[in-house]
Amino acid sequence: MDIAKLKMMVNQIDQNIAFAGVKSEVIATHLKKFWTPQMRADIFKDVQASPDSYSSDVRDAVNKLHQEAKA
Amino acid sequence: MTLLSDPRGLSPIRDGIGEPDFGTPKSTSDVTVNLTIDGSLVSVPAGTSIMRAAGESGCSIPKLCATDSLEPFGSCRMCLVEIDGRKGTPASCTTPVEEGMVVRTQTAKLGKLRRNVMELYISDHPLECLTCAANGDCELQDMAGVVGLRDVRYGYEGENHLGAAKDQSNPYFDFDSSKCIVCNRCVRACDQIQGTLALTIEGRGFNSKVSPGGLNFLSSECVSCGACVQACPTGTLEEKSVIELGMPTRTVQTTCAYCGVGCTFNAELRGDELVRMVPAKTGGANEGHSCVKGRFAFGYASHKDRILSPMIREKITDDWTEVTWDEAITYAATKFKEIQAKYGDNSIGGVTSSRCTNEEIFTVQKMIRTAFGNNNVDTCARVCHSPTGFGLSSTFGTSAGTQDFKSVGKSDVILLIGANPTDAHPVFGSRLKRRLRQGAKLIVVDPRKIDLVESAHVKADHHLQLQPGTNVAVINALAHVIATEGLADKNFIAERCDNAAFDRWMKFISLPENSPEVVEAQSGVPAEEIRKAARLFATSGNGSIYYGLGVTEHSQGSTMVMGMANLAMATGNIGREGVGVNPLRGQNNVQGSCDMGSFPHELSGYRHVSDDAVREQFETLWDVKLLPEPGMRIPNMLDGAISGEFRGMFVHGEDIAQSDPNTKHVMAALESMDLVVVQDLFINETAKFAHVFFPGTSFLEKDGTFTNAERRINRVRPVMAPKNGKQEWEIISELATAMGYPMHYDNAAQIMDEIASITPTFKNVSFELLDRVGSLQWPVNEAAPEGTPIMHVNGFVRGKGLFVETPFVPTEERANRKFPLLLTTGRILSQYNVGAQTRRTANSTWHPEDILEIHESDAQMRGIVDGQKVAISSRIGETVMRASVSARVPAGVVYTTFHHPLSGANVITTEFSDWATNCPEYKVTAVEIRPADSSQDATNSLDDVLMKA
Repeated sequence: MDIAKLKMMVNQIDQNIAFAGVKSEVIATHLKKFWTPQMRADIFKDVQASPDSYSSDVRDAVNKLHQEAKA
Repeated sequence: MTLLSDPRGLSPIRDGIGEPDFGTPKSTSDVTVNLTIDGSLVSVPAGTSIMRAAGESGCSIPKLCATDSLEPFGSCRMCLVEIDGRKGTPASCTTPVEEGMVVRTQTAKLGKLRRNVMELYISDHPLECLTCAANGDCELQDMAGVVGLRDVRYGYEGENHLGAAKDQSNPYFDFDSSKCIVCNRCVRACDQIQGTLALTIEGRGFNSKVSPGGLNFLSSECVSCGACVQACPTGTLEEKSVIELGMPTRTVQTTCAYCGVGCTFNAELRGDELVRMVPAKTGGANEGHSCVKGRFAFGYASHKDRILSPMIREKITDDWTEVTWDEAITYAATKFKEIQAKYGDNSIGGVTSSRCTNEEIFTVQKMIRTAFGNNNVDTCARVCHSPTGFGLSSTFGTSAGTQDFKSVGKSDVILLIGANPTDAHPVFGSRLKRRLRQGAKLIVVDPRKIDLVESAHVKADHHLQLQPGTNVAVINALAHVIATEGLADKNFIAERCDNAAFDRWMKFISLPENSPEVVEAQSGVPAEEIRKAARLFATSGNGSIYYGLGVTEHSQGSTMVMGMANLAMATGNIGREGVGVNPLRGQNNVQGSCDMGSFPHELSGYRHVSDDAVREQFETLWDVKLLPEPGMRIPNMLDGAISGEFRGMFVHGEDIAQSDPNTKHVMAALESMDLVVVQDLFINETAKFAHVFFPGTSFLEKDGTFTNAERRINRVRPVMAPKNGKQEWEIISELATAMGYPMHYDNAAQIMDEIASITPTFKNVSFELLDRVGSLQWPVNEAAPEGTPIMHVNGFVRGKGLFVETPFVPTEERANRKFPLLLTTGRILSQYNVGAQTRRTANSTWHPEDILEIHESDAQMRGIVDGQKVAISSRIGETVMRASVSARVPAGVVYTTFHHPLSGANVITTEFSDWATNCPEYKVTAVEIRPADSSQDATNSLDDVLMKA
């Protein structure tokens, strides 16, 4: 997948999503619900490689999903 | 005593044409009135005319100027009756029934009067019945027989209208005024049904004649809806197809395949030849009305461009080879399996079509989830109303509009956002105009001055002419006024909504950043105008919201849908007639394609693939293991194709190369794939990249159902046998079987039975029930055995309505010095979507090319004059089209349609998309315009891209 697009998408979700709750969990729920496992794996790699490109909420969300996938 | 109810109509498939006409509209009164007509006791609702009461009791009264789709007029003097205790012979069409009334419809005196009146009509009417196109469908002819006219004493030598010229300018019908009896039915139909008021009676007395104004019908304001033709009791207004082919002899009732209104039509045929499409009065969505597309633009189904044989080719540069169905299916299945063997199960996927039936869509998504073994299925709703699904399911709990179309007749104030119903959903647009003429208020939120802002007898109370991309700011500002001025419906919120969420939302929406004064700077809408509109919406009674793609096709499309839901809940406008949040769906079966499990994360009925219990039901039924994770969306598939992971695609009845944003990217993706299978009527732009072409069936050949924007499931009945030899669900079943997953159905009804067995909202739906009751609005289950016209009546589907905070986040797509204008897109009345259907009909008479609307000051600044070819460039690409200097768009905004591949509007649209659903942001593209070079005059932009792809 095009990582630049995935990065743009996840940061756009971060900017816009406003459901009640802990934001990183809200983002994680959204990604789990709508993104393919491959997209989640790709964005995890990029978060690891360039964490400064993402907010702490996105980082936490992506890491959480990675841990879940490993479990 | 005969207790009468209004007969629903005739059998949907029958010999003969026409529907019963009771002369005047049905009364909806609950009070019953008893009277005697020709010796029979009759009971009817109060307000019923004597004419209708007599007609319903089986003793029709002669009539000419009356028809039950129009208010009574009382001009022809044919329907006279005698009433005990009353002087004279009143017109039965304009006289309402009264308790105990005794009416006689057939007496010697009445017979003589009627013959005398008829004699006068016939004295100025051509006596050419045997060669008249209306022979057999002419009320004047019928009534002359009914009243027993045998002679005309006046002769034909005097002054008359027999030599009046014909107006044959309209491509679909002729106007022969020599046959006109000036009954006013056409004029009243244009007024009362269509609401355009294009027709009038010109002149006085003997010189009175029907006139379209202007030179002729084509150059007039007539929108060719056909209401006048339908209403005409003679051969004055007659379809050209009837004139050419003769009167039809049989009828099959079916559903239009154009927009999301889903009009019911009687397809009238001679043998297997379709002569005309007549809107059905029993149609729940349209109630006897139509637009120029559904009524007349069906010729594409038999167009010479249609492909009827399957074709294959090794490379997209090869010529096509016609093959048998077996060869084509085996070829596609083998290639798909080879790709999966080499690149993995996830390397292929498909797209379902919102132009196809629920049954066809269901089989496509089933084939992908079973035979393909993945969830890589998406639908064209991705590029139109996917934010509706996300927004309404988040707030209300279900992915659908809340009302039936009829509900707008009870609205007191209508908030119309990003929709242009008089062009894109014309039959609903006519309903809406009717309500406005009755006094309902209208607030239009749109960057463009659409017809409803100001046109004949319609003027919006407020036009919030916002800058493209600022919807959310404006909806927040409207809600801010309601929240901070104490206009919210506290009782509704307390009883029906999640109160903790409401408290959070109140805090958010009351912030100064959401005030009209701050939003004015962002949106360009004066703060005071927003305040007035908000107060009007909150305090005028029933407030309804109708919206279109001008809401969804933005980077904040889903946020905006939730913003509208918040507004409806805050004002208590949910759960009864006249209110609600209502998406005007783009294609005929967008609702159905979403319902049927076309999204990669959902099975039918909007149930997530990760739900173990739901998945187990499907696994048991389908005898296959399903994946619990979402599959790829269309943009993911295209990106995957570019990066080499995604190699094969089944495209069912869609033209993604023309309809999806950033054409160059889409084409590059399609070209990258090893196998593209397209199922369609025509070699469309996408098919130019295909290796296998499966010819599809037109709506006239399909057997199944469509679900319209009001959740109404309508039957689509085959008017003729499939020209390609197979129903599309058969082809899909055979492809699935060839790929190793046995799939077989005997008929489309079996597929609906399967859908009903596994989809709770469709639980009681069957073809048998649909044939019996006409149509059904889901949910259809034990609680609502004949459907649910209004949703969320006693509670939201999710339980409590959920207020969601909707912060305004401006789009990344911004105007700057290089691209200083914002382009937005829309539809025009005569064309439909990418134009594959309407461009192959005479509808192109009105709109032969896409036009760019530009404000006078922007045009002047660039040296552009009306009609000039201009080049439009964005960050993505450039295209050429003709400019129209227009006051419809404000300075800084330009507008075009996207119906013609020649102009290729999507060559320039960007890949920005809705944050939640990836619905493309078609409505905001920063562009610059300049006069086209002489070399660009003949540029075919899409083909240019094709050459370079």
